[in-house]
Amino acid sequence: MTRQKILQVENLSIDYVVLDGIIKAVRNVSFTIDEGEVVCLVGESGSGKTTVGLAIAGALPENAVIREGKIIFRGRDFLSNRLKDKSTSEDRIMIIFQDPVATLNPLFRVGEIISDVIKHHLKITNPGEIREKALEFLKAVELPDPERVFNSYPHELSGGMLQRVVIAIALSINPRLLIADEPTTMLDVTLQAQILDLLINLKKKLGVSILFITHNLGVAAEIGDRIIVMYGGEIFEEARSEELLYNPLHPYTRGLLECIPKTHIKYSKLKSIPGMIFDLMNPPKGCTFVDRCTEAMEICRNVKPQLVEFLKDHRVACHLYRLEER
Amino acid sequence: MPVSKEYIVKRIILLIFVILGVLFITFVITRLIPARPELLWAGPHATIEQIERARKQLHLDKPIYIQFILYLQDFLTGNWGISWRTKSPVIVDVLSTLTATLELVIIAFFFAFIIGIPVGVLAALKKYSWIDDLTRIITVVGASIPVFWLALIVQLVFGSWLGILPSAKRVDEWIVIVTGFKPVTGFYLLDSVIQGNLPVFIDTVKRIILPALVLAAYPFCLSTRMTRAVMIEVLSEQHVKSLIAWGLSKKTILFKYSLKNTIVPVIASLGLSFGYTIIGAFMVELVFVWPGIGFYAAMSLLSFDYPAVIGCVITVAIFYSIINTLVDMIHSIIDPRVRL
Repeated sequence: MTRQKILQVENLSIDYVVLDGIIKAVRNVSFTIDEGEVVCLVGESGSGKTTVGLAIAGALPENAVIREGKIIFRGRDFLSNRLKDKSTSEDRIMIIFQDPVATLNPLFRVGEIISDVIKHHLKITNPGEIREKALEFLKAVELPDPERVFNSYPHELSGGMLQRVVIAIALSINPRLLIADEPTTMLDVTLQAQILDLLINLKKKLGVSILFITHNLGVAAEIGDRIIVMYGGEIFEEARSEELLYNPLHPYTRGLLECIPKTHIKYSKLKSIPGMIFDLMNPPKGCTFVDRCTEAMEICRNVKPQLVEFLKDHRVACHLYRLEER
Repeated sequence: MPVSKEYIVKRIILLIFVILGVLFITFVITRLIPARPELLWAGPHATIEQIERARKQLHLDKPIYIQFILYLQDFLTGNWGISWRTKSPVIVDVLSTLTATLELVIIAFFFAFIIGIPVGVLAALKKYSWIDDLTRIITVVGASIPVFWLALIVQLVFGSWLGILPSAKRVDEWIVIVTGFKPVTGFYLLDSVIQGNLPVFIDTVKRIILPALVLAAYPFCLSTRMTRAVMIEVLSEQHVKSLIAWGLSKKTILFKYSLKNTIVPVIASLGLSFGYTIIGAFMVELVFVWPGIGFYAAMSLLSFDYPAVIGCVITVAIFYSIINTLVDMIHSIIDPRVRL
């Protein structure tokens, strides 16, 4: 099973320039996404997962600086080509966001926004054709009465419906990669499952690859083919979903898994990982997790662990797993 | 149909109540004065019978609510009293001076917003550049300068020193007489265009420039500052970021989407600054001898001409509420969330 790599991220480092200094939000991140694959980026807030997503989507805020690294999408270096990019819609990476209510301009009908996106990328000028295409995708995201939705203002629709609209907008130009930045976080639990199902269905139908960003390992396990665990701007562990869930290597991943509430044990206490994330302006010299790690050793303070493929298709960055001890 | 008829009807009914409220307040104020107008009416050395007759004539013998109804009746039938100063009916004076003021205010507002909004957008897009700094200096200074002082300075510079623009009156009487110009609507610019009277048109334009410029200073600065602040805010909102991320062109994002979000609060400020501009018009008209309602009110105030002053107050208040109703309607056309 050798699938084509659709996206390669190599040694990506991103800084945010703020008033009191430079935040090293993403450091030396490398990973790949295969065609038709769902990769989950998991991490707590401040882990840099959203920054990675925004960088790939080409939607970084103004104060972000890509210090080094490459983002190669469909064989082309995305970072050096982006500005003069006059490519087809298939070379476009689309993104959906956390808050569907804030994502859509409240003064415009949903149909107008989706039509503009279609018109711009698919270079269709006939209004009837644009409308048909828009309705087709509003139907594809399983919205009841797409005609009505098309003519609605955002405030007339519910959060769940809006997230479906946003997904329709993102997929309407037939992108090959979709970045989903915590698309279910702001929704009710019942809606979360629906939206996840919808994304999986659409992925199968349209063959789009998805980079799914979430802080919720449970959600990641449900949707992801592969899970990447990030902490403080670095990748700590990466493996196929089942492998990561049943055989977590990094102490941080294990901690995260223990934090998922266990509903089958009565009166079990909610667990958490003690401590706070380190100061991103001055990352520690060694392992960034050392202060919160229960298995920290002397070496962890001074030497940064490298990301190594400890098991097959299972990469981890921790001194507990050194290649020579395998 | 973007706005329901229901909404418009609702707003007009509300407007009627606001105007009734204005009339009620002016009525109460005039009745609050502990005077006996019938004594004044009857004149000195009047007998008790004469005073009694005057009381009846002035309806002062009737209960207060009947008096209010009669007052409303007088207001609606155009019986606003006789001006003590000009000796003509107040309503005739007010209506003839109102158009002069409206012409001035409309021109001032039009240019204030037509120029203010683009300048504000530019300042927002070039945030912290020299353009932004320059507009900030101009607008802060412009909004801080008292209107009457600016009026005098402008008169001095353009009227006296440079001598390029006349600095008093709406139109030269000689040109009116020579060309046989007869105002119909009272808006001289409009009238002269309709009648094809070029000399009057040119003279009117020349004379309106300076007072309109002075009057436009405050709304211009306000709309520029507002537009800049709101635009910067809007550009940082998620719905703009998402359009950028979805790859729409800068032109579309800026002028089709963000500008619409920006315009809403700027238009709301238009309605509010209208009140300030009317006050400004009082000063500007006085300095430029502009025969508008401000000039008329100021003259009436100076000669204690109460019927005229009350007439002016009611007219300005009514206009203020009409403008704000219109602004609300425009607001509801742009923003679907306020269509109730």
